[in-house]
Amino acid sequence: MAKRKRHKMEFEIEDVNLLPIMNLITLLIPFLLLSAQFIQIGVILVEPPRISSGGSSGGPNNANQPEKRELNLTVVVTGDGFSVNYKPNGTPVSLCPEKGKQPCIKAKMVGGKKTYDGHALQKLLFERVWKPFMKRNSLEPDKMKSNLFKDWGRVAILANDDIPYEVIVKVLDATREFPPEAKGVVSGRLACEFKKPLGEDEWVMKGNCMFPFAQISSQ
Amino acid sequence: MADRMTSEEKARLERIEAKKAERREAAKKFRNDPLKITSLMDALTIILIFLLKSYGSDPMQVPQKKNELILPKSDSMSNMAECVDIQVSRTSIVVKGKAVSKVVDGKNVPSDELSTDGHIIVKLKERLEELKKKAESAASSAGKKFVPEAFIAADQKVPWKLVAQVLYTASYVKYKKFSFAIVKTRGG
Repeated sequence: MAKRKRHKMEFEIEDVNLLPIMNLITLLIPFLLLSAQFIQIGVILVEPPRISSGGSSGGPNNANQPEKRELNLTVVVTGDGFSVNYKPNGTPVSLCPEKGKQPCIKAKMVGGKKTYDGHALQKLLFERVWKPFMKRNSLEPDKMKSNLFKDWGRVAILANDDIPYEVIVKVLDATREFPPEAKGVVSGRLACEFKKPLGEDEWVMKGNCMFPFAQISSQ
Repeated sequence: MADRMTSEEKARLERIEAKKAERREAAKKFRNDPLKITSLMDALTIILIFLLKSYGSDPMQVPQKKNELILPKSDSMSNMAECVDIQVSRTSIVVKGKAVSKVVDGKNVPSDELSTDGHIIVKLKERLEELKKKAESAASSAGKKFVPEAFIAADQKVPWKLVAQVLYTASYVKYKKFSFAIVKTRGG
């Protein structure tokens, strides 16, 4: 009788004992929650500042094509706002819509805080610089030979010493990324991304960038 | 006896029996039913996997502190890579976890810690040179080329001058690439 009973017991389906796993998981979750990062940290790549008056540092330029011009796109950041100028024909031209009015994009006081309009700068660069020259320029390596300007994709940012760092980051965003208005003009996703493949030394550009190589200096 | 029972009594007995059986059944059910935790386990496992995924994905973490080091927000999508990190907070400049210089009023490096032309932070220069030498010898023994790169995590409110001094110092020590740490505003 007893033997038969034991035999029967072996075939009974027992529930899995989840208690130890539950113990483990309930301990792990608070610990991981504590150490979890809910904000994602990224980077913006910048070129080293020019120390002496020596030539520009590296980048896409072809020394065997002397006829190429330099665009010298410059964004000046002062306490009053942004001004933009470039040299499409060898002479510096201000990009302000109204001539002689400096700065072009004025910083506004919003709620007692000085606010710079990054989007306006982005739009200005896109409409006045990128769009008129885009057919003859490209950041694609294979089309480099047909480029008009050897420093296409570069932008110099001149900032006053007392400008808060977050404004510089805003300018970097405005020069690097396309504005939402570029949808339809630029094919693909409007995002500029740099990636560093594992084990490599160089960053590789991915996605659509407007003027991704920024060199910031003090004014 | 049985046939002497009226049909009424029979029905009553049957009802009692039925009730008893029902109660027995209910008691049995209550005893044998364990807590249903399968769905809870499912949820917990999913949470666990997500937390584990976010745990080790970033090569470097920047400890942010209110009124000291808050990174600016940006639309940049690029992720960081391993390199020398310089933290510029409102109170100090820290290189790889070691403080090299103080920051006064959340604005300036004391003038006695600057070089004579005011562009180079002397202690920072020494520390970066030391780190570069170390990394170079490590890279050469591994047969690799070393590209000195610096990762700068600066507070959003510090003046540009302070960051510029750090940049000048690092490029004086021949650091070739710089990346600014930001908090991503769009996912990806």
